[in-house]
Amino acid sequence: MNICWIDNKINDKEIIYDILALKNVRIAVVNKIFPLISNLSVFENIVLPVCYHTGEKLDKYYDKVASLLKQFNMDTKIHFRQNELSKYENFVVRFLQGYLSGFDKIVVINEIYDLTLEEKKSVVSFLKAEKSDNVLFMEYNRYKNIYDGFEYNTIEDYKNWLTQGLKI
Amino acid sequence: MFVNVCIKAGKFFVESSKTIVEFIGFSSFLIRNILKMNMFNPTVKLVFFRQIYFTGVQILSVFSIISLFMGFVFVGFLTQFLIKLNAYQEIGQVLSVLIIRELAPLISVIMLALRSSTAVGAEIAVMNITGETRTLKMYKVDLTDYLYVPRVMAGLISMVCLSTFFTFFSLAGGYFLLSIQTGADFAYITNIILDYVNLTDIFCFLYKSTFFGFLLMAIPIYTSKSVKNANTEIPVALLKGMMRLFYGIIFVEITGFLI
Repeated sequence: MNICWIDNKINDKEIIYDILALKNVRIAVVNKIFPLISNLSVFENIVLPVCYHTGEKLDKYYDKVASLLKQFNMDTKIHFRQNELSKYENFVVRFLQGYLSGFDKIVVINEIYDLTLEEKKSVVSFLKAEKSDNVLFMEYNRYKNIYDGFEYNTIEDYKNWLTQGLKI
Repeated sequence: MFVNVCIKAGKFFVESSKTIVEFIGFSSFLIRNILKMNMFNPTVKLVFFRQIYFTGVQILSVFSIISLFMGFVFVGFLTQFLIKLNAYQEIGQVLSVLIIRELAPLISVIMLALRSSTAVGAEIAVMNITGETRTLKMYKVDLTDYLYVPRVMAGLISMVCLSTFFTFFSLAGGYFLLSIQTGADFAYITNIILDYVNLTDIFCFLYKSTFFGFLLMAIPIYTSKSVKNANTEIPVALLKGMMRLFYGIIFVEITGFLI
């Protein structure tokens, strides 16, 4: 897992547009502009991308999704709709949707600054346990001071970072 | 004054023609996607069965009552009226034309349009505004395969099934009334209708049911997918969608009359 800082001058939409314009690499972006599908449950939302692309049955992922949700203390909410979730839970579901999607990289843009310290820690400990190396968190510089205790990198050359395929 | 009327009429004609051509293009694109048989994808199947439940199953109780009531009114009273006129020979023909060719598809499409077309139109419009379609596109989920095709197929299948239900329910309703008033048995009612039903009537019934079923979902989807940013676009799109569906129903009725 990587937490990166990005220059204040670049806005969410510009970053998302640039990232999704990259060819030859499938990137799942987790950001508020990509909401959950409102008429699907938490479980159906999480497995939608992976099952759509692989053609596998949804039930196949049930245990896996349940165990992932349990790590965020959300195992009782597997059949909830998005309007029944808190802001943090909504983020977790969107994150797991990208995490299970099978895409090459998962980029989480300006999401964790909004969480409480406990919630941030639960996300970090989850990723440390999963040993994921294809997940990237990007946050604005202006939120830098609220991340004491977290390791992070700074993206100095944004354009170069894009052409390098989002490598840190 | 006359020039202004001509300009308005011309503008209306050009815009209507443009919409019709675009809709034909959208429909052919939908049909091509239906033929690709992506319906077997489990995520698409889920949307399809859910839509079948909303469109075809949830409506069943209300639909059965209305069909029975229509049966009382049309089959019961009309048969009684024809018997009074001593037009026994015409009963089968009148009922088969009335129920199979006209009433069953028309009442079904009106009920489904009021209940499901508005819901589907609003759903697609809201998905566009809240950005849910953006999420699907980001995950490279094809909107036509995932959102449009299962809804259109569900509308089509529900429409054919409900029209068939209507035929039987209205016959049952008519029989109920006649059996009380004249003592006619069920075999008598079904026989006088079935003796006069021919292949053309069945073809007309299928033509109307399938075409109505397709338009029932395709028109609201086509109209609502143009909604982009503002909430105020939703009622406008719904209104446009329902008016276009109304024109579509008239078109099918006219072409069905030619069969």
